[in-house]
Parts: sequence; C-alpha cells; structure tokens
Amino acid sequence: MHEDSAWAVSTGFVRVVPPNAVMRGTLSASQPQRILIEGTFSGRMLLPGSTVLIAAAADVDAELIEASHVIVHGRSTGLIRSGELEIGATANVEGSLQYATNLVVAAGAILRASIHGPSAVTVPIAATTPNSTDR
Amino acid sequence: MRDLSTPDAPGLPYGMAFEGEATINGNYTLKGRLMGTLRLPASATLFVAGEGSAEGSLQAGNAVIAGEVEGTIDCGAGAVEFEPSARCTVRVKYRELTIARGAAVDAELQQTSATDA
Repeated sequence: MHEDSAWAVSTGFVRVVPPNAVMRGTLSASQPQRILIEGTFSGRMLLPGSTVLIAAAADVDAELIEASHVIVHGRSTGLIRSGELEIGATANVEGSLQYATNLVVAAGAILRASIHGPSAVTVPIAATTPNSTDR
Repeated sequence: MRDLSTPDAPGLPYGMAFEGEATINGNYTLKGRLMGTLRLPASATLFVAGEGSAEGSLQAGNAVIAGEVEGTIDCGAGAVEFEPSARCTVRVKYRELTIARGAAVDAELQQTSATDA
C-alpha cells in the first residue's frame, strides 16, 4: 500500500483537503474522482465510484464516507462504507467499516472498529461448481 | 491570464461539490462547486476556474475569478481579478481590482487602503 502524498498526486489524486486545511461539511461527486485527504475533515463524503486516500497526517471524523475504494493511512473515526477498503500500517481507525469486496489491514494498524463484510452471496455456490451440471 | 491549476495544486476538481466551511492554508483552485465559506490566508490566492462556481463567502489574499461567484469576496489586503469568463453577483472588498472585457460582474465594491488592512 502506498502512503506517500507525492506518489498519490503523480497518479492522479487531487489534493482536495491539503495539509493543515480544516474542512467541515459534505463532499460529493457527480463522477468518479481520486481524492487525497491530507488535512482535517469532518462531515460526510458521498463519493460513489471514487477513490479516497486518507494520508498519514490526515485526521478525518466522518459521519459517513461512501466510496468505491477507501485507503486509510491516517486517523479516521466514524462510518466507512466502501467496495474495497485498505487500512495501512500507520492508520488509526475507530468506528464502523463496511466493505463489499475486499478488506486489507496491514500489520501495525490500530483498529477499534466493527467490521461488516460482504453481506450476501450474489451467485449461489452450486451454480458455479463445475461438477454440478455433470450429475 | 495566470493558471494556478497545476496538477499538484490543491483544489476542488470538476464534478465535485463541497457544502460547508473550509479553511485552507495556501493557494486553492475551485473547478467544482462550493457552497458555504472558504478562507485562505493573506498570503494565498484563490482561483475560481471557468468551470468552477461558488455560492457564499470567500476570503483570500488575492482572488482570480474566471467562473461563477454569488456572495462575498473579501481580499481587503490584496487584488481581485475578474477574467473575461467571470459571471458574478458579489460584494467585493479589495485593494486592487481588475475586470477584464467580457466579464459579467454585478457587484458592490469596497476598496481598502494600506492603512485599512
């Protein structure tokens, strides 16, 4: 997992909450974005289809973060609802984590959270078992 | 006109919106939509790009406006520049003001002097 802001910017992340910034409110997007959080944010991020990277120095107090991919290297409290969720080694996460496809937690991360994984199997196992049609 | 929207420049990209209060410690570019309050330090410049818009209160050292703004712009110690594409209904506090030909600006203006700042 990458945690360097320079790498993030070089790969197309936009510094929406730059270092030492303080933002309180609601961030939303009408199209997929790659969003870098380096400062302090509190409120809601309604970003379906987007990737959110919370940098190591960032401090996020989220009523809700909703995105397709969330990467946390800094401090985060609150509810994160994401398709894919990565928690880096420097992360300090407290709250509720909901993910639909993948969850990765690096060694060293501080995690005080409830975790809710994929809640439903969309394709019945029997239908995808090769032998099931041979019987 | 100057372009502050370099790839690594902090800002709100096109297609994004922020509603609330923000204090940024440096230059900032709005290509998306801001509703609320945005404060930058006296040393920083706010750039509202052509595709950007803001509704509310903007405070910065200097401001370059190429998009839409409705509300207040406080650059009492610096310069405000309206680009030809600017479309604004604003109250403006400034020390230096530039309005380019083609800009659509409906404004109440308050000029400050060096002793005011």
